[in-house]
Amino acid sequence: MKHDELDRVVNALRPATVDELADAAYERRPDAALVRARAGTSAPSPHPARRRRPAYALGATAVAAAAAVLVAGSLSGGHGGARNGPNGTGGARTFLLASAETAARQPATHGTCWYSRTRMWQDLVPFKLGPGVPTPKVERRRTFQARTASSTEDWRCTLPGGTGMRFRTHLPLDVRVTFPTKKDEAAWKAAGSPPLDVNGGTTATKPHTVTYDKGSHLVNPEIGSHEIEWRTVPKLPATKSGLEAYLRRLWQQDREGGAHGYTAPADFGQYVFVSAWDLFMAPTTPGTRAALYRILADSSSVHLTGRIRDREGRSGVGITAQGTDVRLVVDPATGRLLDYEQLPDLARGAAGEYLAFERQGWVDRIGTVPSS
Amino acid sequence: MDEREARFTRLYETYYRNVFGYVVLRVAPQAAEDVTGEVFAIAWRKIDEVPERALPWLLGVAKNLARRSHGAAGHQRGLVDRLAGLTTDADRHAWDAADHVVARDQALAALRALSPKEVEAVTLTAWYGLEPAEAAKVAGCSRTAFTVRLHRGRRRLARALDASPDPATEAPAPRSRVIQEKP
Repeated sequence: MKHDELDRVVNALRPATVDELADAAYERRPDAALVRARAGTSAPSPHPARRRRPAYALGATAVAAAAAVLVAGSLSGGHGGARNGPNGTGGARTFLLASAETAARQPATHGTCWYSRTRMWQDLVPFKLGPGVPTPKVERRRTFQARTASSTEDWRCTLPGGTGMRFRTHLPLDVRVTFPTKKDEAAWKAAGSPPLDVNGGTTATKPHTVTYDKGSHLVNPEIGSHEIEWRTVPKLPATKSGLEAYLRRLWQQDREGGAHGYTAPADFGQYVFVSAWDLFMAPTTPGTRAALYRILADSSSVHLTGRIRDREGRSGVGITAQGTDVRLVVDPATGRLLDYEQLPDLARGAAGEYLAFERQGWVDRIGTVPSS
Repeated sequence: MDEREARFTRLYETYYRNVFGYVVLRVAPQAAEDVTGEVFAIAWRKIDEVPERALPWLLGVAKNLARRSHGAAGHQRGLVDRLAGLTTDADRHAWDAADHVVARDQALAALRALSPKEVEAVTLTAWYGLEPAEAAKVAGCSRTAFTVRLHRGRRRLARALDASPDPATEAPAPRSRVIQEKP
């Protein structure tokens, strides 16, 4: 779908009733003086230097602090791992260059269908009352904490001739629910044991398969605001200089303003890092993966978060970049991406996202699974 | 009326509809006016902290109040449900007249396929006219993180919409085959 059509669809989804209700509420609104009187006296800022400092700036600081706490917690046992990997950009460079060597040694394979099996976790968090906020409505509160997990199988197959593709998705698989405490589980049961959200449905959804034919637009990886045609992914530059020149050209275009409001970060390494996820997930060649690691190794904003054991029990090394809340976990033995993690926004009570890549590879027939 | 009172009154008159429109999609309609009033009560108490471009700040406060009223988990899923609930025949007729490539229900279903943060990113920029940097402040994340969410959300939405059957044909379009299979 083209961007302008997407804009039209999104804009049209906002019901006209919203504006009608807003107009009616505006007509009924209390006088501003009454709002001020009810609110009490405004408190002038005690620190003139901080005047006009928005509340969200404080929130952002808290988010960063919370994220730092989480990373430390994860590394020191949050995922059952130990902090024994080299951190910092120096360690990152060494690790990323080693990963480049490892990736380059992997065999180049090909087929007609790119298979991937991905596991997604969702954290469901209870409502938390904060200071000075209105009393919540009881019926909408979640009273328990839970974590759901399910896997999805995807096949992305090129069809002979043209750019058409056939897709198949099989989900939700191996659904699991865990509660951090028996008290949480008891609260869930007390709430009537409601089905909980998983990717593609709820914990009550039976596994099902959907097969359909569409254009490659569904799966084309993106670098910044640039969509990379699926068929050309294996043809991306396989040398550091070639790939870097290609990515820098895209970055410069996105610096000037990409599609749908995207503006690339000023830091090239950060730009590459946030695009790396798509490239590692797509059927890029070992040479392209190696080149990507070498480009990331040159970036001072990319750093390690340490060696960890992921939620599947696999050992890997976490990498992230300044200005992002995403962590990628790389398998040092193969250079493959193991996990994608978006850190939760603890200060605001929002859950993060966690994806683990259980298996990837080429197959020649839809519905079959690669042997390794 | 002193300078601060005058500024508050300008904010109140200018942004009441915007704030209410944001709130009514996140709380029950009957509670929306109360929550909107609370947003502006906080704005008055903290008038010296409200930045010149006040709307992102106000929506950030509204978001926190709505979340605290109704719980963080699932509130974006609730947003899609509220969109569906507030949809009227007039919206459906307008949708049909606009000749969109997908049916409205399918578009809503596609929106449900996004993560909560992606739904937030897509709607904040599309419906409130916020620049990514401003919307990032409402979302409580860095601009980079927000633009990634926005970009991925729009891409996933586009793909989900592309996967929807063409509303103009009862059967799937040529070269399009959708088969529901048993596991």
